[in-house]
Amino acid sequence: MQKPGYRILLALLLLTSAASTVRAQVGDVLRRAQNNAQKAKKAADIYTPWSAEQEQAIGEASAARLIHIFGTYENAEMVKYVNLVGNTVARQGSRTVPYRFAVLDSEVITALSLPGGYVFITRGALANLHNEAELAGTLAHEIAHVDRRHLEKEIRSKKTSQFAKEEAATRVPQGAELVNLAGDVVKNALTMQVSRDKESEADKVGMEFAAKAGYDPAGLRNFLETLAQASSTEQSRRQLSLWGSTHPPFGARVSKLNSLLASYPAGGQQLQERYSWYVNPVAFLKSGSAGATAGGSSELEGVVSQGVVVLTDGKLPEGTRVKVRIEH
Amino acid sequence: MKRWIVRSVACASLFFLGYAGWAFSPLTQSQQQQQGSQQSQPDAKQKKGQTSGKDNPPPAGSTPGASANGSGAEKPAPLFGGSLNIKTSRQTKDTATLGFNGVDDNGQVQKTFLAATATGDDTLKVQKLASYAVSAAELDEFIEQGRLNPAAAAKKPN
Repeated sequence: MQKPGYRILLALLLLTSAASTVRAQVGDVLRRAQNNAQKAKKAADIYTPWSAEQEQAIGEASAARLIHIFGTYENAEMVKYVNLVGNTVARQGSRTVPYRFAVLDSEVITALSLPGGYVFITRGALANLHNEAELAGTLAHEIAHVDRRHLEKEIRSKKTSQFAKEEAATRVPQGAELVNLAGDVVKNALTMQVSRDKESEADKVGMEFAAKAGYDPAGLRNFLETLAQASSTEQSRRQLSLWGSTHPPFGARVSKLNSLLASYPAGGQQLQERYSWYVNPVAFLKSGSAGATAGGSSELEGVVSQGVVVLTDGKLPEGTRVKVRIEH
Repeated sequence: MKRWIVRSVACASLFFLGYAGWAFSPLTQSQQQQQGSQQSQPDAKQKKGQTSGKDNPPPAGSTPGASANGSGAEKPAPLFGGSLNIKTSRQTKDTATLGFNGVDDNGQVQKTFLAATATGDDTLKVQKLASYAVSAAELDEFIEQGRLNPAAAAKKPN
């Protein structure tokens, strides 16, 4: 009577041990799969970045394409000033990049950066900044994108071209390949948002750069607040639409920047007067347009009447600082 | 006796099947999770798209007679101020060269421009940007004038 019971018990023990072995094997397979997935993610994050030559070639071709779309605002004094502010902030970056700053000739309010240190701000954005700290904060955000290679990472992760797919490619792209790559870079910069974490990083790092340079770290926050309070007119919407489609909403960024600001001591330069000196209504006038003199200069004509300069065409807001050159 | 043995074997088989099912359950769960995440991706994308669309300023309706250059029905705003909350750098008397350049009525980059290839002139303009490069002396003077921080951060190799 007892023999069959023992057999069954033995069979059950055998079955249990077999099942345990199977479970352990399945567990090993799962762990290996998880490890492989983690390795693949690390490989995507850690890659061989573009060399300085590759970055420069791609940046220059992309900048040409961007200029083809908007054109550049040619005002030597103002562009030089933007370069001075940009380079003051870029000194706080971690990479040695030959930064070049330019003003795009558009009413649109935006700023953007390309690989290789090409940073652009539009005429419309300059018209809405109040001081140098706001300009520094805006440029610092773009410098942070370049410093952390954000756009390069986006292009490489999307693998839209053979060159973007290639890991550790040593050749510098040329010809059609370069043209296509530049097209991808500009399309990405103008029509898509980089990931939220990269935007947050650029806000954080940008604020750090601006503060370390000696500017009021609240510059970018203040500018974003101005834009957030913009009236919802057709003109405002048109001016801000590009910014809206390539950056996170103003409110979310302002609240994040506010929390970051708590860790910075109060102070820092705002330099409103210097900003108004270089970026003023007179400077926005163009040759050939009413109020500007011919010959490519951005100057207004006027006559001295009873010791006061009277503009022959045009009116400037109260407090606008101007330079006067005497014509003979 | 035989019936008892048959019953015991049946019980053991059921136990084994149940145990084997438990042993393989993590695989099934992980598969389900994978399937679940694959299914949820389009939803998440759709949701993200909706959110960003909501956050972005709505496209402006085209006004009859309005043009990119500000002529027609669109009243040019006064230079650096006016009734608009947002300032405009455009002057009162607008010209063909001043305006939104490159964007459509909705403020988005015109597709034709986006697809266009840069010309040699554009490349020259890019190269001309180097002429605005600031020297170390100019930068030092600028920093000093603004009472900014003259110290630069340490750089790592490119």
